[in-house]
Amino acid sequence: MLNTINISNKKVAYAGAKIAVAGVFGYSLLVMLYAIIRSSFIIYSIMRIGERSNILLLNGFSFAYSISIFSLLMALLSSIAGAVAGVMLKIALQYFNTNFRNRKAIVISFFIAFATLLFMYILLFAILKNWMTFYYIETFSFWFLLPAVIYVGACIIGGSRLNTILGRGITSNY
Amino acid sequence: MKRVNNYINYTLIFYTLIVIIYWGFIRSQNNNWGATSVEINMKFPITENIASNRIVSTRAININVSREKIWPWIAQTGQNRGGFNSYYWLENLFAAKMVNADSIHPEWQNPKVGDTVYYGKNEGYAFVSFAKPNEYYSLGGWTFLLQKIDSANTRLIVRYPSMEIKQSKFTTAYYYALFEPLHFIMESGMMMGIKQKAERK
Repeated sequence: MLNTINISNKKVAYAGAKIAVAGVFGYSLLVMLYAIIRSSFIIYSIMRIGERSNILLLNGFSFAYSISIFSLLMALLSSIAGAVAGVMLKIALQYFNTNFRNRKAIVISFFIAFATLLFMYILLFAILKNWMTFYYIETFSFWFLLPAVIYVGACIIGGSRLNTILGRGITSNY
Repeated sequence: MKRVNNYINYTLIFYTLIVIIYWGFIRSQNNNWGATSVEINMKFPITENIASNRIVSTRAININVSREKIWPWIAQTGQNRGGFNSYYWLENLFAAKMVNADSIHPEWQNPKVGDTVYYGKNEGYAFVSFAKPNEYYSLGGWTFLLQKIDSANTRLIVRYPSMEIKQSKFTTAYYYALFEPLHFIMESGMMMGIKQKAERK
């Protein structure tokens, strides 16, 4: 077997879960900012001076609160996907990138991300069917495009870092 | 990994602060946004049986036109009609397929008791329970009351009895955690949307 630094699957899964949670939190904060700014502009254009500040405050905090709660729920679910992707990445890197080359690790990470994304979306489509719609660009971007970009990005960065750690066992032998 | 840990911890602290502020200062105002104590306690001309384990909100807004100019926008409420005049981009994130009409449609101007009004495409619906042109409109208890101030000013008062929140622990958690703040956002957005369209020259 390869001479790699031994990182347990449990540790990799834990790290994958944490990266997924961080990704969800980052995305949620962006969504929060977007929703608050967009709705605030609308409120600002409708309400008169003296009526605005109260509704701007209530609306902003209501958005922040509901998105925070939703984000915590999504973080729980995503941590599972992150843990699974982490372990899959570790196995794939050990078997298909025996020299632990970084470029190859990036390609492998991309394919792992793509495969797991495809699996998740097929599963979601089978469950939600009628609910899934890309009728508007917002819907497509919110549920599909932006999470996919974040997920692929996190997989590539995480995969590259994992590859470096796994490769230390080999470089130390030279 | 340390940076990721720190980031997660700081976000959790931020979320905790938001929850504290929401429950401490915001929620109580949300339920009666814009309404006076008289309006909160007033009896609506039509009264529906509201179970005791529902939370009732009463919200109000001034609209600077007569009731007759506001009514057409309320009459055509519904996903299968002229939309809800709220944040359509938010509704469509949840596949509502909402389109807010930008004009008054004559074919939707006579809502009848029993008419089906959809909240979203293939989603929940309610029946029109009361409708009196230029005065009130009710969707299964969710009531829009137009109160005349003078010939050019109207008070739109909206009363909403929540779902029965004590059905199960899940319902209670879902209501307080997500439904209530989101309903406030959408309902206040709707009231402002109606105001904007009615006041448009």
